[in-house]
Amino acid sequence: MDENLKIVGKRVIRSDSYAKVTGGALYTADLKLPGMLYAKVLRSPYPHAKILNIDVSKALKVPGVKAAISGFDAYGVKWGVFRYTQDHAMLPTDKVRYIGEDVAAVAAVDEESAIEALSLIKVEYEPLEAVFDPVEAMKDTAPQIHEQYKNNINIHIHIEVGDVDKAMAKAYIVREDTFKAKGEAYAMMEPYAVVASYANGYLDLWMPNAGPHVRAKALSNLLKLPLNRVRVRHINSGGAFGGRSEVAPGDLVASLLSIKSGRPVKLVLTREENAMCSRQVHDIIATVKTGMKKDGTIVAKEYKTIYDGGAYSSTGPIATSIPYYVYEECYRLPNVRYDGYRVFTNKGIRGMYGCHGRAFLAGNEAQMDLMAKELGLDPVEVRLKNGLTAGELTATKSKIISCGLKDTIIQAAEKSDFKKKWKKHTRNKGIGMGCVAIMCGFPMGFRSGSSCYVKINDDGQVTLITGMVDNGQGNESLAVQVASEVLGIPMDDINLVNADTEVTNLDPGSYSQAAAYVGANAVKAACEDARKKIIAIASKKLGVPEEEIDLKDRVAYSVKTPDKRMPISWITREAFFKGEPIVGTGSFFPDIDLEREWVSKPEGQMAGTYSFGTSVAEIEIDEETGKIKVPKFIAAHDCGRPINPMAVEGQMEGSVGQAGIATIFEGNMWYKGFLLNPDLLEYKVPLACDMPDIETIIVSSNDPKGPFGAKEGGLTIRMNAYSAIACAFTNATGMLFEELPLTPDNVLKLLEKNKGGKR
Amino acid sequence: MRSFEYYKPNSIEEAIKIMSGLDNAKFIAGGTDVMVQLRQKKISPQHLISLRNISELRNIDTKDGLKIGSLVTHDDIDKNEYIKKYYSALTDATSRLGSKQIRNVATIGGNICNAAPSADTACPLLIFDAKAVIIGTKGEREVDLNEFFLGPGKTVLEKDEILKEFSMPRLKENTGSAYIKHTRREAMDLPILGVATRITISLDKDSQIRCRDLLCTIDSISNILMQLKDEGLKCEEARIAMGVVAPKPIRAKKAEEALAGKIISIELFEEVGEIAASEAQPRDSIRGEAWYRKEMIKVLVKRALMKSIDRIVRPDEEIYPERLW
Ligand SMILES: Cc1cc2nc3c(=O)[nH]c(=O)nc-3n(C[C@H](O)[C@H](O)[C@H](O)COP(=O)(O)OP(=O)(O)OC[C@H]3O[C@@H](n4cnc5c(N)ncnc54)[C@H](O)[C@@H]3O)c2cc1C
Repeated sequence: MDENLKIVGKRVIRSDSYAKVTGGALYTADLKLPGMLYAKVLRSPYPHAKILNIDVSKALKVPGVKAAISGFDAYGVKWGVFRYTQDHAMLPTDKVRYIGEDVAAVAAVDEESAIEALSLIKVEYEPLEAVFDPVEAMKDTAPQIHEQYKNNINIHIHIEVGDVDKAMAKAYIVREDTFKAKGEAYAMMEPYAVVASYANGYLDLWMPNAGPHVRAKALSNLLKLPLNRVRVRHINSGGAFGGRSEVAPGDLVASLLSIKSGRPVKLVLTREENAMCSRQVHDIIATVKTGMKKDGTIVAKEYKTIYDGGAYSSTGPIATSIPYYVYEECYRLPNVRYDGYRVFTNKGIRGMYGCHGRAFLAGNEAQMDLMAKELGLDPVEVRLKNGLTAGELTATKSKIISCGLKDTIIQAAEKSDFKKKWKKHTRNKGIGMGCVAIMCGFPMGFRSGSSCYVKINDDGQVTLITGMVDNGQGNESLAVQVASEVLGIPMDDINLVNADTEVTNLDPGSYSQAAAYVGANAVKAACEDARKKIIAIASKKLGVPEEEIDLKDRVAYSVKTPDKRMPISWITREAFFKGEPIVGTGSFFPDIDLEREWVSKPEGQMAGTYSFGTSVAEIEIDEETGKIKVPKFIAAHDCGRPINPMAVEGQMEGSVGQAGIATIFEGNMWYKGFLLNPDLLEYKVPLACDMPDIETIIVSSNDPKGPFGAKEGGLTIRMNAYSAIACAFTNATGMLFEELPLTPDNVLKLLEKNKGGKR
Repeated sequence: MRSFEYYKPNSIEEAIKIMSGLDNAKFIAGGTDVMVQLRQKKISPQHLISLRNISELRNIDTKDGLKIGSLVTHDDIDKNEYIKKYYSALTDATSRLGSKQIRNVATIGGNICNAAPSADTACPLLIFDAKAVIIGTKGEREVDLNEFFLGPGKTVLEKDEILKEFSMPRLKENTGSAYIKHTRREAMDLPILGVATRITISLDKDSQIRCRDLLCTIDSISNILMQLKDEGLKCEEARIAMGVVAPKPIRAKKAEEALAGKIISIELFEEVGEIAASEAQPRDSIRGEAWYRKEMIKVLVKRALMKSIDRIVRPDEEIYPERLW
């Protein structure tokens, strides 16, 4: 069936596009429920302070105010993704740990009254010494942010493979460099919003999220409610990028206010609150030591990477690991020592990011180029030489299933005339290449798999029920398109019910790159189940063997004698008459090592498969101003088989902006725990006019287990676009970057250094 | 945002009358500064008096020099071919101010009355020796734009005074101007630094011919200047203005003096850039550190001067910047 696909692989208009471009799509902030109240949050003005007392009584006297709460109204439960990281109360009662932390909140009939009431809440603090720099925080003299984490070390990941010291000693050349990068802002188009509605003992919630089931579970813990009484419902989401996978303080705030007032409560964060008080991205300091043979073969890697973790654990163990893993999934590393430290500081809460780890990854790639140059080798050849191939194991023993890395490198290099341009660079013009791999899903215990139900309705139309969630990347359309292929029913005839914890079953969510590989595989399985039932009836009715029947354009027909045919709607009705309506179920659980654990056992099969990608950037440096321009960008991505090439290209193009141009634009700026650029004027998200001329290349490696051969669609570019820019900078100037972003002043300083001047 | 009363007078007189009878009132033109400040709670007026119905504030008059009404939008300026040709620095500023949506409503009067050190139209108006024409209960007065700003957000305007228009003298022959806005993004960004220059040159007979020849090439101005050396172009008069280097947009008067009467060369421009940098007192800010701003003054003054000359000698050229440096 795979070879004559009807709709999979076609450039279809996404099922969600029309509503979104016409403004018809509704988001959480658009929701209005009868009797709904508006919430506002009182936030900590201190980076670190003991809470002595919180008094909300005066706030309750403001006309229109229906509830006021603080952490003392919560249930004393702390949340963490892992048992060993449960340290986040969301509404603290002991002390505040960052500026902007949620301290108390009110719900009122309008926003004005809520704001007025906030000013009447009395909080007594005892300011404590604070620490903002992770290196400082690790010192014995630094203030302790959490009792249970000595030296503020939240997570230490230690990976040891082979004999690093011996290999380094034998290497032909060895280089060690340290790279820094500022944390980025997710800058989702939709600032965080949540509506909570508690009635009759049941809590309903709407919010942009990347995994409704994990969200509901976290809230059921925090609120001490049985899981069946917490329902996270479907709503459009205006972006997540990794920042909305975890439960948010606002979820708890809105829920408590709704439980107290007995009315629905809406909380919408401002743009600034979204940046300061929802999640942020880790600042990173990465020390990379590489040993290489004369022929460019990597023989050893030694890493020390420090992640500025902000005030709480969040996805700590994962965040501390991922940059390394996506690198070892790309290159053969026979001997490795990785020490990743996630360190607490008195800064906002941090999460995973689609472009997570830029100091580490761009550092590795740029350093490799400098070493290649020293050895008289071409970066393309060095990447091809060290790149993993299908069937190989990564350093921590995870098997590469399908692999188009080589093709992405070769095609991107050819399209950009890389080898020639790399040699012909000038002081202010360079070209660079970055490669990476991405796991399609990672171990999440019993949540690693997905299931789907499908029912065929009386007119032959279809309802698809899956836990898959869409944050804007097109997962919903993906599910519909896969179902359309299997059932021979046009996308328009398929209704989707998804991301609602009451009606859908578990799904890994959309933050581990598992939607296509895991979620859509379950959709495919469920639809195949239903397809079998349709074909069985058709076979009887048409008098042809089942193997001969195909489904297409709402019709079941014989492939041999196509005029033997009948509409699927007739078949459906036939099934109803028999009292056996057509429903299908299916699930998919990836082949992974469930014993694998981020800290205690970093070894074993990480994911069902991996995607691969290569970025090539050309840059121009204005040597007088330090401004970098990116005239051209080429991105090649191996997504297995693209279900909808247009959607994959969209992801790649978005990545060029969010990771590539961000290399020169984006970074959070701090002054003593205070975020200086929480708005979109001072936090520079690239605009359309800042984008380079982009060429995208889809490489198809046809994964043996992916749905129709599909894997994750586009994330590799999010994790190598910055490497391409950093490498282009190295190509032009012969130097490595020291800190990202490469802002004009930063570049000018480096150029001066190169000239031997001061500054 | 608190609620407020909204007024929409049809004439300057009416607007002034309403204003003088109210406490805690504010004029509003395009509202692109006022509305932002309201939301940020930097201001909380009880009355907003819109100037948008006053059509006499919307004129562009090019009969003698240039007069631009305070309610003229940046987009109106952008589309004006006369301004583009003769007062090019102004178009340089408006064409990159905010975004199209902002330019459609935001006014030049609002930009100046808001008195941000980064206001994009301030430097171009300063180099064209603009005067602000002001009307109040006490009548009309003219203030040199150089004296108009008092500090960030502060101007000489009294409570019940309205800025009517900017009036700029006619420019001499052989005059060119440019404004360079140094930003990180291509749009929707405030300048790290803004520099505007205007220069009037004189050509003696010989060099005029050589000039023409050279200028027919697509050579960069810096190369042309290099080849012309001492016999070349003489600077008759010059203006240099800088934004975001002091509490208000300022003229670099010493740098202007250093240029006037001299034979033009790249070295001279670099020297002038240094002098201009010494006249600035930039601060460290989130958009750029002081040292960086000082360095950029040197670069941008030089570039703006070259661009200004380019516009004299190649007036019909559409695109300048790429081949200049
Ligand atoms: C997204 C965005 C991007 C922007 N980008 C830029 C940019 O790139 N460069 C830049 O310089 N600015 C920028 N601005 C700021 C703003 O758009 C400009 O300063 C604009 O010119 C202000 O004009 P306005 O008509 O909107 O003024 P308003 O907001 O209506 O008024 C501004 C001030 O001037 C006063 N005022 C207005 N007209 C008169 C008058 N005739 N007499 C007396 N007082 C008056 C008002 O009382 C108020 O104090 C941006 C703003 C936004 C929101």
